[in-house]
Amino acid sequence: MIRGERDTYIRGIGQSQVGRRVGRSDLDLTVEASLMAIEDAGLTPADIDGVATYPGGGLAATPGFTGPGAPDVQDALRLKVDWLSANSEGGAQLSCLVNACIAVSAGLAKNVLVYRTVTESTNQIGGRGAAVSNPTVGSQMQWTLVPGALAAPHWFAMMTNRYMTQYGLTREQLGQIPVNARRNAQLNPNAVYTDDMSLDDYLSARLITSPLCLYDCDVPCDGSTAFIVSHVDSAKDAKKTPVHVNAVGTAYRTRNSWDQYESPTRTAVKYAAEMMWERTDLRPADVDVAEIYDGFSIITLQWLEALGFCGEGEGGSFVEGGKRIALDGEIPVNTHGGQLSAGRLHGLGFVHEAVVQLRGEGGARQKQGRHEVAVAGNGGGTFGGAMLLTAGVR
Amino acid sequence: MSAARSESVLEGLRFAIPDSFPSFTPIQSPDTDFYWRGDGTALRMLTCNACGKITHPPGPVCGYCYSRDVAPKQVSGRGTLYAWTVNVQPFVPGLDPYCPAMVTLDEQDDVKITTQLVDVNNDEIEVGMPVEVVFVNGSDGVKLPFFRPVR
Repeated sequence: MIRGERDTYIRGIGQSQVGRRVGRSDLDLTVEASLMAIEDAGLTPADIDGVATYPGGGLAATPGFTGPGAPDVQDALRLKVDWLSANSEGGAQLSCLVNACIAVSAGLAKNVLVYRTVTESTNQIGGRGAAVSNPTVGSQMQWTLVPGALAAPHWFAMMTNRYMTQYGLTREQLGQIPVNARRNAQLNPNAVYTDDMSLDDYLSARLITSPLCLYDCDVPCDGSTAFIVSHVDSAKDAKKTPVHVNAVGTAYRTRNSWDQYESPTRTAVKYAAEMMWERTDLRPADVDVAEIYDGFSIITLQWLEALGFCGEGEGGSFVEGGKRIALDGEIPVNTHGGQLSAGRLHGLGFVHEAVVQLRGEGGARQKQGRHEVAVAGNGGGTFGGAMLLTAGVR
Repeated sequence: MSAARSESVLEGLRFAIPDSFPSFTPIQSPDTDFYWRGDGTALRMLTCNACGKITHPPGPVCGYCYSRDVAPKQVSGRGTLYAWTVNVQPFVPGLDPYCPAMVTLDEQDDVKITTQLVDVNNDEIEVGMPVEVVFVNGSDGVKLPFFRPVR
């Protein structure tokens, strides 16, 4: 019998203003999202006894990446907490939610505030030149950075190039991921980019690093996403439909490296998904919506395969034409527009949208018909975290 | 009529062997200095004296048999192009388009080296092509193993 995450549910959600160059502080955005989530849960700040975030303040990273540290948020909201946690290592961005589930299951806290905040748009300077200003590098990152593979677009461009060579993926197929995201973003009032985008627009877009064009890369933004994770014992008191955490996947069953992967179909996401399915009786056919990472469009394809919606290397033909992954398709993908169009909220935006869909609160973008099971996938490359959620405690 | 495809900007590009590349500087370490700070004449990889396997990135232990009897050993410097990309976005101001790449080694094809492909025209690059090492000066005395087609 799986316990841990299954002792827990998402009781409340909140999302701050999201946009380009919003110009507000990360703490300000976090407080907005957090108070919204607490209210949405039917709780008050006095009920919050835990805080978790990814990756936590103080991490050496590009400006606007980390958001405020857990102690800053705790103090701003005058929370009296029994437990707090911030960590950048684990099941990708999802690790903060998983940590909260574990803490609640273990009895360390009853209602944990979880948040992820970015101000990467406001902090974007000089065409991202800041990303390469650090002259020395150690640890794993040296093996890609020193020879000149300077940023995530290079690593994922090479992964995409290899995938295309190995499995015959075309840009016409891959382009369905951003085109689908844009179509869905047009139904999301909080999305950053909502102008029309056709497949032709994609195929002629500005090249970044081949074969990736501008629309293969997600959009830096400012915004905060927050959750309240609580124990299922309290589910009857929740204001909204409790969203049960059915299973999580946090596995790293492969080389933890940006270039030693066995194949572009066998990166961290594959094993996170594999572990998630090991912890549940639900199957891919039970899933109603998939909110899966799209920091680069190839990652969404990798998640579709990893989660078992199609076979290894079959992602290209699966998304061809775009019908299967559309809002009215067999498995709607990134119904809010993903990070490619709605904005790079860095992981937890997908979980937020999964909860919205399971509650039936999607408005114009609500998946019609059954919406009982959702999967959220975070991360790509060396990071992976998966979470299976259900409407109501099972 | 539709607009030119994204990749049309790559037409006619050639990637020469640069005099130097303005690289990040790897932190000095007894585990890795042999790789970055050699004399720039031969590629050396961390090799296990017990089982003969190459471990990369290099470290204090063999990743195959866990022997700690590991040491740098010269390899042929020949390999196969595994993946590549042509960077056109000016992440570093002033840098011309260049070709980050991944190469597997002839000695052991599960070892991949992130590198750059040089001395090559864009239109002749193909995954699977045989390549050989050529060293280029990086920052602070670092010798970068780049690769070019075997001709």
